[in-house]
Amino acid sequence: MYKLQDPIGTRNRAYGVSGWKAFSSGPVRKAGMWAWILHRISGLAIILFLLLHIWEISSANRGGTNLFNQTMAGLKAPLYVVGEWLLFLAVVYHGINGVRLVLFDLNIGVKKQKTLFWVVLGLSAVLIAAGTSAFLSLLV
Amino acid sequence: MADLDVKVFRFDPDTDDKPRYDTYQVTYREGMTILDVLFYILENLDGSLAFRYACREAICGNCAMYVNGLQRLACKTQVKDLKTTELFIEPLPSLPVIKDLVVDLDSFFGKYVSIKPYLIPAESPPEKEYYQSQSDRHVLNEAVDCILCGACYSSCPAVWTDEDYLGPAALIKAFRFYADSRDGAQKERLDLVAHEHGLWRCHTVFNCVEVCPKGIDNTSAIQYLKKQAVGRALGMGVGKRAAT
Ligand code: SF4
Ligand code: FES
Repeated sequence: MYKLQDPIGTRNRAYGVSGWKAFSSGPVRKAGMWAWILHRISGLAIILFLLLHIWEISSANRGGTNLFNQTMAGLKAPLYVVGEWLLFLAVVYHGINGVRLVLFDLNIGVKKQKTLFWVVLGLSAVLIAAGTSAFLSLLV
Repeated sequence: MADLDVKVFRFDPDTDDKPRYDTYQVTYREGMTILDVLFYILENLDGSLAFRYACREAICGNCAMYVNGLQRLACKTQVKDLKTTELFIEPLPSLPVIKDLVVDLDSFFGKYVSIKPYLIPAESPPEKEYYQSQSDRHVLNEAVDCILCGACYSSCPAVWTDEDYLGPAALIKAFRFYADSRDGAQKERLDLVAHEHGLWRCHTVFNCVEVCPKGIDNTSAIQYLKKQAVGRALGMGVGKRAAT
Protein backbone atom coordinates (compact mmCIF):
# COMPACT_ATOMS: atom_id res chain seq x y z
CA MET A 1 0.00 0.00 0.00
CA TYR A 2 1.36 3.42 -0.91
CA LYS A 3 2.23 5.84 1.88
CA LEU A 4 2.95 9.50 1.33
CA GLN A 5 6.72 9.79 1.73
CA ASP A 6 6.84 13.46 2.38
CA PRO A 7 3.61 15.23 3.24
CA ILE A 8 4.28 18.76 2.11
CA GLY A 9 2.67 20.63 4.99
CA THR A 10 1.39 24.02 3.91
CA ARG A 11 1.76 23.14 0.26
CA ASN A 12 -0.73 20.35 0.64
CA ARG A 13 -4.02 21.32 -0.91
CA ALA A 14 -5.88 18.18 0.06
CA TYR A 15 -9.51 19.02 -0.51
CA GLY A 16 -11.40 16.92 1.95
CA VAL A 17 -15.12 17.51 1.99
CA SER A 18 -14.61 21.15 1.00
CA GLY A 19 -13.95 19.85 -2.49
CA TRP A 20 -17.65 19.25 -2.88
CA LYS A 21 -18.28 22.93 -3.45
CA ALA A 22 -15.91 22.99 -6.39
CA PHE A 23 -18.40 20.80 -8.17
CA SER A 24 -21.10 23.30 -8.86
CA SER A 25 -20.99 23.77 -12.61
CA GLY A 26 -22.68 21.69 -15.26
CA PRO A 27 -25.24 19.45 -13.56
CA VAL A 28 -25.47 17.08 -16.51
CA ARG A 29 -21.76 16.44 -16.65
CA LYS A 30 -21.70 15.96 -12.91
CA ALA A 31 -24.77 13.77 -12.54
CA GLY A 32 -22.74 11.07 -10.78
CA MET A 33 -21.37 13.61 -8.31
CA TRP A 34 -24.83 14.93 -7.52
CA ALA A 35 -26.16 11.41 -7.11
CA TRP A 36 -23.39 10.72 -4.65
CA ILE A 37 -23.72 13.96 -2.68
CA LEU A 38 -27.47 13.44 -2.32
CA HIS A 39 -26.81 9.86 -1.27
CA ARG A 40 -24.39 10.99 1.43
CA ILE A 41 -26.62 13.77 2.74
CA SER A 42 -29.70 11.56 2.83
CA GLY A 43 -27.67 8.84 4.52
CA LEU A 44 -26.48 11.24 7.22
CA ALA A 45 -30.05 12.45 7.69
CA ILE A 46 -31.24 8.89 8.19
CA ILE A 47 -28.51 8.23 10.79
CA LEU A 48 -29.54 11.42 12.59
CA PHE A 49 -33.12 10.18 12.61
CA LEU A 50 -32.04 6.82 13.98
CA LEU A 51 -30.37 8.53 16.95
CA LEU A 52 -33.44 10.69 17.60
CA HIS A 53 -35.61 7.61 17.26
CA ILE A 54 -33.62 5.69 19.86
CA TRP A 55 -33.79 8.64 22.20
CA GLU A 56 -37.53 8.98 21.73
CA ILE A 57 -38.31 5.26 22.18
CA SER A 58 -36.01 5.04 25.20
CA SER A 59 -38.28 7.54 26.96
CA ALA A 60 -40.15 4.42 28.08
CA ASN A 61 -37.03 3.34 29.95
CA ARG A 62 -36.35 6.76 31.33
CA GLY A 63 -39.85 7.69 32.52
CA GLY A 64 -42.15 4.73 31.98
CA THR A 65 -45.53 4.83 30.25
CA ASN A 66 -46.23 8.43 31.15
CA LEU A 67 -43.12 9.92 29.64
CA PHE A 68 -43.45 7.70 26.59
CA ASN A 69 -47.04 8.81 25.96
CA GLN A 70 -46.04 12.42 26.52
CA THR A 71 -43.17 12.13 24.05
CA MET A 72 -45.38 10.52 21.45
CA ALA A 73 -47.99 13.24 21.86
CA GLY A 74 -45.31 15.91 21.53
CA LEU A 75 -44.21 14.41 18.22
CA LYS A 76 -47.54 15.31 16.67
CA ALA A 77 -46.46 18.96 16.49
CA PRO A 78 -46.18 20.33 12.92
CA LEU A 79 -42.42 20.78 13.26
CA TYR A 80 -41.99 17.03 13.70
CA VAL A 81 -44.38 16.24 10.87
CA VAL A 82 -42.26 18.40 8.57
CA GLY A 83 -39.16 16.67 9.90
CA GLU A 84 -40.74 13.32 9.22
CA TRP A 85 -41.55 14.42 5.71
CA LEU A 86 -37.90 15.37 5.17
CA LEU A 87 -36.96 11.94 6.48
CA PHE A 88 -39.39 10.46 3.98
CA LEU A 89 -37.60 12.33 1.13
CA ALA A 90 -34.26 11.05 2.36
CA VAL A 91 -35.40 7.44 2.69
CA VAL A 92 -37.05 7.41 -0.74
CA TYR A 93 -34.00 8.81 -2.53
CA HIS A 94 -31.49 6.81 -0.52
CA GLY A 95 -33.38 3.58 -1.10
CA ILE A 96 -33.89 3.99 -4.82
CA ASN A 97 -30.40 5.28 -5.51
CA GLY A 98 -29.18 2.40 -3.35
CA VAL A 99 -30.61 0.02 -5.93
CA ARG A 100 -28.71 1.94 -8.62
CA LEU A 101 -25.50 1.46 -6.64
CA VAL A 102 -26.12 -2.23 -6.05
CA LEU A 103 -26.58 -2.66 -9.80
CA PHE A 104 -23.19 -1.00 -10.32
CA ASP A 105 -21.63 -3.41 -7.85
CA LEU A 106 -22.97 -6.24 -9.99
CA ASN A 107 -21.33 -4.39 -12.88
CA ILE A 108 -24.72 -3.72 -14.43
CA GLY A 109 -25.55 -0.38 -16.03
CA VAL A 110 -22.25 1.29 -15.17
CA LYS A 111 -22.09 2.88 -18.60
CA LYS A 112 -25.70 4.05 -18.23
CA GLN A 113 -25.18 5.73 -14.89
CA LYS A 114 -26.57 9.10 -15.92
CA THR A 115 -29.75 7.67 -17.39
CA LEU A 116 -30.14 5.60 -14.24
CA PHE A 117 -29.72 8.73 -12.13
CA TRP A 118 -32.59 10.40 -13.97
CA VAL A 119 -34.65 7.25 -13.50
CA VAL A 120 -33.87 7.37 -9.77
CA LEU A 121 -34.94 11.02 -9.62
CA GLY A 122 -38.12 10.26 -11.61
CA LEU A 123 -39.14 7.33 -9.41
CA SER A 124 -38.35 9.32 -6.29
CA ALA A 125 -40.48 12.21 -7.52
CA VAL A 126 -43.45 9.91 -8.15
CA LEU A 127 -43.19 8.27 -4.72
CA ILE A 128 -42.70 11.60 -3.00
CA ALA A 129 -45.72 13.11 -4.73
CA ALA A 130 -47.81 10.13 -3.69
CA GLY A 131 -46.56 10.19 -0.10
CA THR A 132 -46.75 13.93 0.43
CA SER A 133 -50.55 13.98 0.44
CA ALA A 134 -50.49 11.66 3.44
CA PHE A 135 -48.26 14.12 5.30
CA LEU A 136 -50.51 17.02 4.33
CA SER A 137 -53.48 15.25 5.86
CA LEU A 138 -51.50 14.93 9.10
CA LEU A 139 -50.88 18.65 9.13
CA VAL A 140 -54.48 19.82 8.64
CA MET B 1 -13.67 36.23 -30.98
CA ALA B 2 -12.65 39.10 -28.76
CA ASP B 3 -9.51 39.20 -26.67
CA LEU B 4 -9.31 36.81 -23.79
CA ASP B 5 -9.49 37.73 -20.17
CA VAL B 6 -7.30 35.11 -18.50
CA LYS B 7 -7.08 34.64 -14.75
CA VAL B 8 -4.18 32.44 -13.74
CA PHE B 9 -3.45 30.90 -10.35
CA ARG B 10 -0.05 32.05 -9.09
CA PHE B 11 1.71 30.63 -6.08
CA ASP B 12 5.29 30.06 -5.10
CA PRO B 13 5.25 28.28 -1.72
CA ASP B 14 8.83 29.35 -1.04
CA THR B 15 8.09 33.07 -1.14
CA ASP B 16 4.31 33.61 -1.09
CA ASP B 17 2.07 33.33 1.94
CA LYS B 18 -0.96 32.56 -0.11
CA PRO B 19 -1.94 32.12 -3.73
CA ARG B 20 -3.19 34.97 -5.92
CA TYR B 21 -4.78 35.25 -9.32
CA ASP B 22 -3.08 37.31 -12.03
CA THR B 23 -5.15 38.60 -14.93
CA TYR B 24 -3.76 38.74 -18.45
CA GLN B 25 -5.21 40.10 -21.69
CA VAL B 26 -4.47 37.59 -24.42
CA THR B 27 -5.03 38.18 -28.12
CA TYR B 28 -7.14 35.37 -29.47
CA ARG B 29 -6.26 33.67 -32.70
CA GLU B 30 -8.14 30.92 -34.46
CA GLY B 31 -7.25 27.45 -33.24
CA MET B 32 -5.80 28.60 -29.96
CA THR B 33 -5.58 26.00 -27.20
CA ILE B 34 -5.22 26.67 -23.49
CA LEU B 35 -1.57 25.72 -23.83
CA ASP B 36 -1.19 28.35 -26.57
CA VAL B 37 -2.71 30.88 -24.19
CA LEU B 38 -0.10 29.99 -21.58
CA PHE B 39 2.69 30.28 -24.17
CA TYR B 40 1.34 33.68 -25.18
CA ILE B 41 1.49 34.83 -21.55
CA LEU B 42 4.96 33.37 -21.07
CA GLU B 43 6.38 34.97 -24.22
CA ASN B 44 4.65 38.34 -24.17
CA LEU B 45 3.38 39.17 -20.72
CA ASP B 46 5.02 37.30 -17.87
CA GLY B 47 8.10 35.10 -18.14
CA SER B 48 7.80 33.91 -14.56
CA LEU B 49 4.75 31.73 -15.09
CA ALA B 50 5.41 28.04 -14.43
CA PHE B 51 3.49 25.25 -16.12
CA ARG B 52 4.29 21.78 -17.37
CA TYR B 53 3.97 20.44 -20.90
CA ALA B 54 5.94 18.37 -23.35
CA CYS B 55 4.18 16.79 -26.31
CA ARG B 56 1.55 19.44 -27.14
CA GLU B 57 -0.57 16.66 -28.59
CA ALA B 58 -2.39 14.99 -25.71
CA ILE B 59 -0.07 12.04 -25.35
CA CYS B 60 2.44 12.85 -22.60
CA GLY B 61 -0.08 13.72 -19.89
CA ASN B 62 1.96 16.61 -18.55
CA CYS B 63 -0.40 19.50 -19.06
CA ALA B 64 -3.48 18.47 -17.07
CA MET B 65 -4.87 21.48 -15.20
CA TYR B 66 -8.10 22.93 -13.93
CA VAL B 67 -9.60 25.11 -16.65
CA ASN B 68 -12.93 26.83 -16.14
CA GLY B 69 -13.99 24.39 -13.47
CA LEU B 70 -12.93 21.09 -14.97
CA GLN B 71 -9.76 19.01 -15.11
CA ARG B 72 -8.58 19.18 -18.73
CA LEU B 73 -5.46 18.84 -20.85
CA ALA B 74 -4.31 22.35 -21.73
CA CYS B 75 -3.01 21.22 -25.11
CA LYS B 76 -6.22 19.42 -26.06
CA THR B 77 -8.66 22.09 -24.95
CA GLN B 78 -9.68 24.56 -27.63
CA VAL B 79 -10.42 28.01 -26.24
CA LYS B 80 -13.31 28.19 -28.70
CA ASP B 81 -14.96 25.14 -27.14
CA LEU B 82 -15.18 26.86 -23.75
CA LYS B 83 -17.60 29.32 -25.35
CA THR B 84 -16.41 32.24 -23.24
CA THR B 85 -13.63 34.81 -23.36
CA GLU B 86 -13.13 34.62 -19.61
CA LEU B 87 -10.70 31.89 -18.68
CA PHE B 88 -9.77 30.58 -15.24
CA ILE B 89 -6.63 28.49 -15.22
CA GLU B 90 -5.66 26.73 -12.03
CA PRO B 91 -3.46 23.77 -11.04
CA LEU B 92 -5.06 20.38 -10.54
CA PRO B 93 -7.18 20.57 -7.38
CA SER B 94 -6.29 18.49 -4.32
CA LEU B 95 -2.63 18.13 -5.24
CA PRO B 96 0.23 20.05 -3.59
CA VAL B 97 1.41 23.02 -5.65
CA ILE B 98 5.10 23.21 -6.49
CA LYS B 99 4.76 26.51 -8.34
CA ASP B 100 1.87 28.17 -10.17
CA LEU B 101 0.28 25.48 -12.35
CA VAL B 102 2.80 22.78 -11.53
CA VAL B 103 1.62 20.22 -8.98
CA ASP B 104 3.44 17.51 -7.11
CA LEU B 105 2.46 14.16 -8.61
CA ASP B 106 4.62 12.01 -6.32
CA SER B 107 1.66 10.44 -4.55
CA PHE B 108 -0.04 9.81 -7.88
CA PHE B 109 2.94 8.03 -9.41
CA GLY B 110 3.85 6.29 -6.15
CA LYS B 111 0.44 4.64 -6.15
CA TYR B 112 0.80 3.81 -9.83
CA VAL B 113 4.08 2.03 -9.15
CA SER B 114 2.58 0.22 -6.17
CA ILE B 115 0.16 -1.78 -8.35
CA LYS B 116 3.11 -3.23 -10.33
CA PRO B 117 2.36 -1.72 -13.72
CA TYR B 118 4.30 -4.25 -15.77
CA LEU B 119 3.68 -7.68 -17.21
CA ILE B 120 4.26 -10.59 -14.82
CA PRO B 121 3.99 -13.70 -17.01
CA ALA B 122 3.04 -17.07 -15.55
CA GLU B 123 5.75 -19.05 -17.35
CA SER B 124 9.16 -18.10 -18.60
CA PRO B 125 9.00 -15.83 -21.63
CA PRO B 126 8.54 -17.47 -25.04
CA GLU B 127 11.37 -17.67 -27.58
CA LYS B 128 9.87 -15.03 -29.82
CA GLU B 129 7.06 -12.62 -28.95
CA TYR B 130 3.99 -13.20 -26.83
CA TYR B 131 0.96 -13.98 -28.88
CA GLN B 132 -2.16 -12.03 -28.03
CA SER B 133 -5.29 -12.41 -30.09
CA GLN B 134 -7.12 -9.36 -31.35
CA SER B 135 -10.09 -10.05 -29.12
CA ASP B 136 -7.85 -10.42 -26.06
CA ARG B 137 -6.19 -7.14 -26.93
CA HIS B 138 -9.55 -5.50 -27.47
CA VAL B 139 -10.35 -5.85 -23.74
CA LEU B 140 -7.38 -3.61 -22.94
CA ASN B 141 -8.04 -0.92 -25.53
CA GLU B 142 -9.20 1.80 -23.16
CA ALA B 143 -6.89 0.99 -20.26
CA VAL B 144 -3.82 1.07 -22.50
CA ASP B 145 -4.75 4.57 -23.65
CA CYS B 146 -4.27 6.11 -20.21
CA ILE B 147 -1.53 8.75 -20.36
CA LEU B 148 -1.23 9.17 -16.57
CA CYS B 149 -2.17 12.81 -16.65
CA GLY B 150 -3.76 12.79 -13.19
CA ALA B 151 -7.00 14.50 -14.23
CA CYS B 152 -9.13 11.66 -12.88
CA TYR B 153 -7.13 11.47 -9.67
CA SER B 154 -7.63 15.16 -9.04
CA SER B 155 -11.38 14.98 -9.69
CA CYS B 156 -12.11 12.10 -7.32
CA PRO B 157 -13.79 12.88 -3.97
CA ALA B 158 -12.44 9.62 -2.55
CA VAL B 159 -8.91 10.88 -3.28
CA TRP B 160 -9.77 14.19 -1.60
CA THR B 161 -10.67 12.52 1.67
CA ASP B 162 -8.32 9.52 1.74
CA GLU B 163 -4.70 10.30 0.97
CA ASP B 164 -3.94 6.59 0.72
CA TYR B 165 -6.61 5.83 -1.86
CA LEU B 166 -4.98 4.43 -4.99
CA GLY B 167 -7.25 6.46 -7.25
CA PRO B 168 -8.76 5.79 -10.68
CA ALA B 169 -5.56 5.81 -12.74
CA ALA B 170 -3.68 3.26 -10.62
CA LEU B 171 -6.78 1.08 -10.58
CA ILE B 172 -7.28 1.21 -14.33
CA LYS B 173 -3.66 0.15 -14.72
CA ALA B 174 -4.28 -2.66 -12.25
CA PHE B 175 -7.15 -3.70 -14.51
CA ARG B 176 -4.98 -3.29 -17.58
CA PHE B 177 -2.58 -5.99 -16.35
CA TYR B 178 -5.11 -8.12 -14.51
CA ALA B 179 -7.12 -8.50 -17.71
CA ASP B 180 -4.09 -9.01 -19.96
CA SER B 181 -4.20 -12.50 -21.47
CA ARG B 182 -0.40 -12.77 -21.13
CA ASP B 183 -0.27 -11.91 -17.44
CA GLY B 184 0.00 -14.59 -14.79
CA ALA B 185 -0.16 -12.67 -11.52
CA GLN B 186 -3.89 -12.21 -11.17
CA LYS B 187 -3.99 -13.30 -7.55
CA GLU B 188 -1.23 -10.94 -6.50
CA ARG B 189 -2.77 -8.09 -8.50
CA LEU B 190 -6.11 -8.52 -6.81
CA ASP B 191 -4.40 -8.53 -3.40
CA LEU B 192 -2.74 -5.23 -4.28
CA VAL B 193 -6.04 -3.46 -4.93
CA ALA B 194 -8.78 -5.26 -2.99
CA HIS B 195 -8.49 -3.34 0.27
CA GLU B 196 -10.02 -0.36 1.96
CA HIS B 197 -7.69 2.14 0.24
CA GLY B 198 -8.13 0.38 -3.08
CA LEU B 199 -11.22 -0.88 -4.88
CA TRP B 200 -13.58 -0.47 -1.93
CA ARG B 201 -12.84 3.22 -1.59
CA CYS B 202 -14.43 3.88 -4.99
CA HIS B 203 -17.98 5.14 -4.42
CA THR B 204 -18.91 5.22 -8.12
CA VAL B 205 -19.05 9.00 -8.34
CA PHE B 206 -17.96 8.93 -12.01
CA ASN B 207 -16.04 12.23 -11.91
CA CYS B 208 -13.03 10.37 -13.31
CA VAL B 209 -15.03 9.21 -16.30
CA GLU B 210 -16.28 12.74 -16.92
CA VAL B 211 -12.86 14.38 -16.96
CA CYS B 212 -10.62 11.76 -18.59
CA PRO B 213 -9.20 13.37 -21.75
CA LYS B 214 -8.82 9.91 -23.27
CA GLY B 215 -12.45 8.98 -22.72
CA ILE B 216 -11.57 6.06 -20.48
CA ASP B 217 -14.35 4.43 -18.50
CA ASN B 218 -12.43 3.99 -15.25
CA THR B 219 -15.47 3.07 -13.23
CA SER B 220 -16.38 0.08 -15.37
CA ALA B 221 -12.88 -1.30 -14.91
CA ILE B 222 -13.00 -0.71 -11.15
CA GLN B 223 -16.42 -2.35 -10.88
CA TYR B 224 -15.12 -5.30 -12.87
CA LEU B 225 -12.24 -5.72 -10.42
CA LYS B 226 -14.61 -5.38 -7.46
CA LYS B 227 -16.73 -8.16 -8.86
CA GLN B 228 -13.66 -10.33 -9.35
CA ALA B 229 -12.59 -9.69 -5.75
CA VAL B 230 -16.03 -10.54 -4.40
CA GLY B 231 -16.13 -13.66 -6.55
CA ARG B 232 -12.84 -14.76 -5.11
CA ALA B 233 -13.90 -14.04 -1.53
CA LEU B 234 -17.00 -16.16 -2.09
CA GLY B 235 -14.79 -19.03 -3.17
CA MET B 236 -15.57 -18.81 -6.84
CA GLY B 237 -11.89 -18.44 -7.61
CA VAL B 238 -10.30 -15.67 -9.59
CA GLY B 239 -12.75 -15.26 -12.40
CA LYS B 240 -12.00 -15.69 -16.03
CA ARG B 241 -11.11 -12.65 -18.01
CA ALA B 242 -13.92 -10.90 -19.74
CA ALA B 243 -14.58 -7.67 -21.52
CA THR B 244 -15.93 -4.88 -19.37
S1 SF4 C 1 -7.46 7.52 -16.74
FE1 SF4 C 1 -7.67 9.32 -18.08
S2 SF4 C 1 -7.73 11.07 -16.64
FE2 SF4 C 1 -6.89 9.33 -15.51
S3 SF4 C 1 -4.65 9.53 -15.68
FE3 SF4 C 1 -5.35 8.15 -17.35
S4 SF4 C 1 -5.68 9.50 -19.12
FE4 SF4 C 1 -5.57 10.84 -17.31
S1 FES D 1 1.48 18.68 -23.46
FE1 FES D 1 1.49 16.48 -23.51
S2 FES D 1 -0.57 16.04 -22.95
FE2 FES D 1 -0.63 18.19 -23.13
